[in-house]
Amino acid sequence: VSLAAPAGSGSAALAAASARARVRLRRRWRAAILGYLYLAPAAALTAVFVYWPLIASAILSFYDWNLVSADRLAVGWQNYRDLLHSRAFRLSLVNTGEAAVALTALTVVAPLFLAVLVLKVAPRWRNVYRVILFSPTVISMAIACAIWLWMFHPLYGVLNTALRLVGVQGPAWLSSSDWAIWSIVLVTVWKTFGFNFVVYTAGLLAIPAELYQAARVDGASDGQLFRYITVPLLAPTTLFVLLTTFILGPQNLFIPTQILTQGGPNEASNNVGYLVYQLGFEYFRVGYASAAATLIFLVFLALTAVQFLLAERRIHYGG
Amino acid sequence: MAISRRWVHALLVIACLVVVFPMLWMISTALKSPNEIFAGTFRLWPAHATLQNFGAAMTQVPMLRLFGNSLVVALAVTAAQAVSSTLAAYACAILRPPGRHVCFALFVATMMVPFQVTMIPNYLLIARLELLNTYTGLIVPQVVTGYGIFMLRQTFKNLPGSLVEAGILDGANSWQVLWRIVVPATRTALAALSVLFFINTWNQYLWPLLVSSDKLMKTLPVGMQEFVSLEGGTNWGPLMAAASMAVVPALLAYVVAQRYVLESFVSAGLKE
Repeated sequence: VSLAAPAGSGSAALAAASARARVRLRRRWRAAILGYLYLAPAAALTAVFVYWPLIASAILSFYDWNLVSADRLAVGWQNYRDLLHSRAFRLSLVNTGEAAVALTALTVVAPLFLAVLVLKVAPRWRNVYRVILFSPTVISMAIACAIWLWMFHPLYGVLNTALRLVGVQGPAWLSSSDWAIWSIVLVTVWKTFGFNFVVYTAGLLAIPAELYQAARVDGASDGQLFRYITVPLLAPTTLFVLLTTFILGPQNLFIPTQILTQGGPNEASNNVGYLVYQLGFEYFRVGYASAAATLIFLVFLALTAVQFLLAERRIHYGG
Repeated sequence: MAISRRWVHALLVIACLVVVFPMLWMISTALKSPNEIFAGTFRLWPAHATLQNFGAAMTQVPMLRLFGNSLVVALAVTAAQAVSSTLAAYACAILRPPGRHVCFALFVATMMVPFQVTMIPNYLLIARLELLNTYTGLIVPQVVTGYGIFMLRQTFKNLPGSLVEAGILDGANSWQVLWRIVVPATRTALAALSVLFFINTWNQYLWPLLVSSDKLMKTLPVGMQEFVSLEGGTNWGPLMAAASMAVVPALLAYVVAQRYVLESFVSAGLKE
């Protein structure tokens, strides 16, 4: 705040001006403190349950501790070294990557196809279809997994029963090292494709209808409309969906893994998120688990940074 | 047109059937007798529909208690999330103290922190405070919501500035402006968001799994898993009956508020 008074004015005027400035400053401070009071509950919760745990996890990762004993042993980088040499961690990383690619492919193609179809019907019906197609997304992942656990049952499950009807011997699904991870991906796709479906519906609705009308007047076919108008104008939405699904999608694997396979058979369906749970809450190796959690967070941070960079570019080029 | 409307409907009906089939199969199994469940036949409507699985579900686990726990936790978390995110969003959008941008960014960034990364320290904290198997331990850590603050800040920013100014000219303080002007003017958005909070918390599995091991303190999605691999194998009938009951509140909230829920998801998805 500038207290400079005009030259030649009396000291009384100067004092009055400075008093006014002080009042203004005090009022601004009071307003700011008031603002912080409103922020306080959310800020306190966020600090205690999100940011402190991030730091605590990094600290724990340098200790060897079994969750119950009184003393923790400082082990330096040993947990990280062990982790990088462990078969389970490497396998889970590979599985997570594979599952992320599969999840991304499936939850981009199917939702786009459904969104295009849904927008072809009258609004009245459109809404009915939308509500039904989105319904798996609002039920609990844990309940969804209970249902699929039953459907995957090798003898009495509906999948293998149906396959038997057409003369095919179905796989053992969850206990087969070839099928377990894809079974988990299947459940995750079923449970989460609704998000991308709704995002695509909105993206499609944002494309001006005149473009289609003009192209149709010029004699374009449905295929051409899709190829030359829908796909390019939907590119920003697709980029958003691809990136968020690839980065956030693997987190959705946690519950299916916990309920359906516990990472088995022989780590075949494990992923990094479940590995942290397993190490911490089943093997009680808290430091080791925290090292894995910290590594995951760093990888995740890097991926998110890439996402932001790509999104930035998109804004420049997408206009 | 190359694709006739009839074909579009046909494809959509097939898609809908595929998508809802697991839920139909859940209900179908819940209504079947044990013999029929293990008959290995493909029958959507049971030959002899029975409610015995529902009865078994109610007696084999403390179903009503689990239901009550889920309801208490979901309602408390929803209310706390609504209030804390309203206050924070009000500060960020209207009071605007210095440093709010950093604060807001830190709130929104919580959406990007994977649960697996924070769960061990959070569990240790709740354990050290001796809050395992308590409602407090179940509820408080779940109240954090970057999403709610993000959505409400946007909503509050879209309010006409004259509305707030009129309140200030009338001599209302910030608290009165919030509850008499801002909240009533945005009640639809607040209600929609609360429905989302409720569905989300009702469905929550991992945090309750970690902090409630006591049979009587579990929430529904966690307690239900007890039917899985009980001695003598999984009790599929009662499991499906429990699942059928457990999905009702979330689906009901969704159907009642579906337009708002879908719209909220859209705006969340298209945040940039």
